[in-house]
Amino acid sequence: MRVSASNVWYVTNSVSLVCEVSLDLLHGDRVAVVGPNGAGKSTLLSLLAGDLRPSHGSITYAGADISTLSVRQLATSRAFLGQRQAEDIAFNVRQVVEMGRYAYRNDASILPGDDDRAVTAAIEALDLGGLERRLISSLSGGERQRTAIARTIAQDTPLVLLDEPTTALDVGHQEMVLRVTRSLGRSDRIVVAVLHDLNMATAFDHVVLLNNGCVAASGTPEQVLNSESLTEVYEHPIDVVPHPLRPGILVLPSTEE
Amino acid sequence: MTDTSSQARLTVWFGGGLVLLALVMFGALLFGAFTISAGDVVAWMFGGDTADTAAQRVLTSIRLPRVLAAAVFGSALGSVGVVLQGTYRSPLADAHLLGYSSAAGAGAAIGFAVTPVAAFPVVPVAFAVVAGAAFGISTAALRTRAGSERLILAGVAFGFALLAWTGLFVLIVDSPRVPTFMFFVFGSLSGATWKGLTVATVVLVPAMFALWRYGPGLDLLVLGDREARTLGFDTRRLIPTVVALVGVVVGASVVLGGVVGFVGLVVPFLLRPIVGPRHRILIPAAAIGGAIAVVMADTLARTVAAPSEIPLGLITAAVGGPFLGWLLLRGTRT
Repeated sequence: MRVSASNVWYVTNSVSLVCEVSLDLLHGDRVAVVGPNGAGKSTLLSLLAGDLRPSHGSITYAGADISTLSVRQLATSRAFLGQRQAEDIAFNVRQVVEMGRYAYRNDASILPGDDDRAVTAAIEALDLGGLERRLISSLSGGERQRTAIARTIAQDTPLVLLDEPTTALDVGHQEMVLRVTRSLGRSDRIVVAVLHDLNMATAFDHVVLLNNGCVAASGTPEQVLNSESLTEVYEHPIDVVPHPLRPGILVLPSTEE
Repeated sequence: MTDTSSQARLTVWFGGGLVLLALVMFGALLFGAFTISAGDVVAWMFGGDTADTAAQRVLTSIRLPRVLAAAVFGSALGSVGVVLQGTYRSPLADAHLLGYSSAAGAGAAIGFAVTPVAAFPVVPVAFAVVAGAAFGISTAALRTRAGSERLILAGVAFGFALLAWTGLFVLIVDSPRVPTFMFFVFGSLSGATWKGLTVATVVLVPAMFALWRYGPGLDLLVLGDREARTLGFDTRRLIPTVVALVGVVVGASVVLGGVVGFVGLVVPFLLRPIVGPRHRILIPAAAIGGAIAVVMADTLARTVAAPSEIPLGLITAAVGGPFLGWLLLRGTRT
């Protein structure tokens, strides 16, 4: 599936939260969206998800304007992980992951069953096997986050949108989520992730740096994540050095002594 | 990993529930203004010749429609409670507390006033259904804008207002066609007839089935409206549909038994720990549980102070009221 955004603006109360963004994403692309608070990252993701409608410009999935797609068609085209996960839920982990299969369900079936494989695969990919029967309300923040990611993966869509997928996770599980995005890329999904950790963004194929709603830079991690543009956009001195242990770069925000 | 053990467990619970319902209904046929022996009921059920033809007449024309009406009424109250709790994302949501029952009651009162006493209550059901559905759709916006407590308060306020208007209407019209005001406050199945049961059931059953079909979508609402929409449940279109269907079920049931509270609150609360939170399971479970509860309550209503009747809603409120209070107190502690 090809996902295109052409000259997309989102204006609310005469403030442009997203301005003049154009993207062209092909299957297998893994894109990190970075930028300071209020740069319009989440708004851009909501626009790409069809959750918000652009004030100007258009977004298409496989050539079809997404404003013409039904809620169910959207749900089989893109999965969307929001920033906040509901906490006080009496459903268990497996039941919540099964919710990712809703759009494929036949309304006459009493319980999910035929979709077991996608659900089980998603649960295993996020290391939730031992927690399947645990209620969401009894989980830690990170476990809830992993459950939500598993639900998003179980939705099994060509486009996967993740808003800060790693924020609540420990280092080991952050790496696990990166591995999951890589395997999604290998199976020809488009992954767009909003990230705060700039070093995590270096693990993506493509980085979009947003500032005040506009694209400040776009390209490979090495092209976009350089000291000058980051220092300017984040209004804070940031050093970028070659990674000492492996190929690639390391982003180091400077700390005042 | 399909969970066969919990499937088996559910089958046992549902089977047990249906058996219990059958036993309770059988028991309810025995008691009343005059007692009928179990042997008579069995003989009558299997078409045998009952010695006492008066007993047979009572069973066929009074007690059976009433017990069936109690079961249908209870299943409507129970299942609608589940649906509203899912839709409003609150264990305190209930047709009675949110004002649906009073709205439907107001519609039914007007419908009764223009319907001859022995007629099929098509007009009362139609008016009650429209009133219930209109109330649901017009107050559904509160769902996302108000917190749970404000929502209940708004529902109670609307409910009292509608009840007051119904009362004024009933007292001013003062027609033998319209049930007493008590019917619209505390309900009663004493007027249950085959005609009423037929009309209500024809409307109730398809609406309840439609709500059951929305079950998996209602499950998604626990994640929030936005997430539910992302996963493919069109909340903007389907929430109004669901609350309208709730109004239809409440409307048809009000014509049968009036305004009765607490069944839709207590029954789902007791069943959730047993059958789990999924609506596909919980809706039929609450229908069976509600039927059991109301058949039992109605049997008490017509036997405790026999030969006079106690309003059905007095019994459900006497049990359910303290329960609601406990639920609220418990909620504030956590």
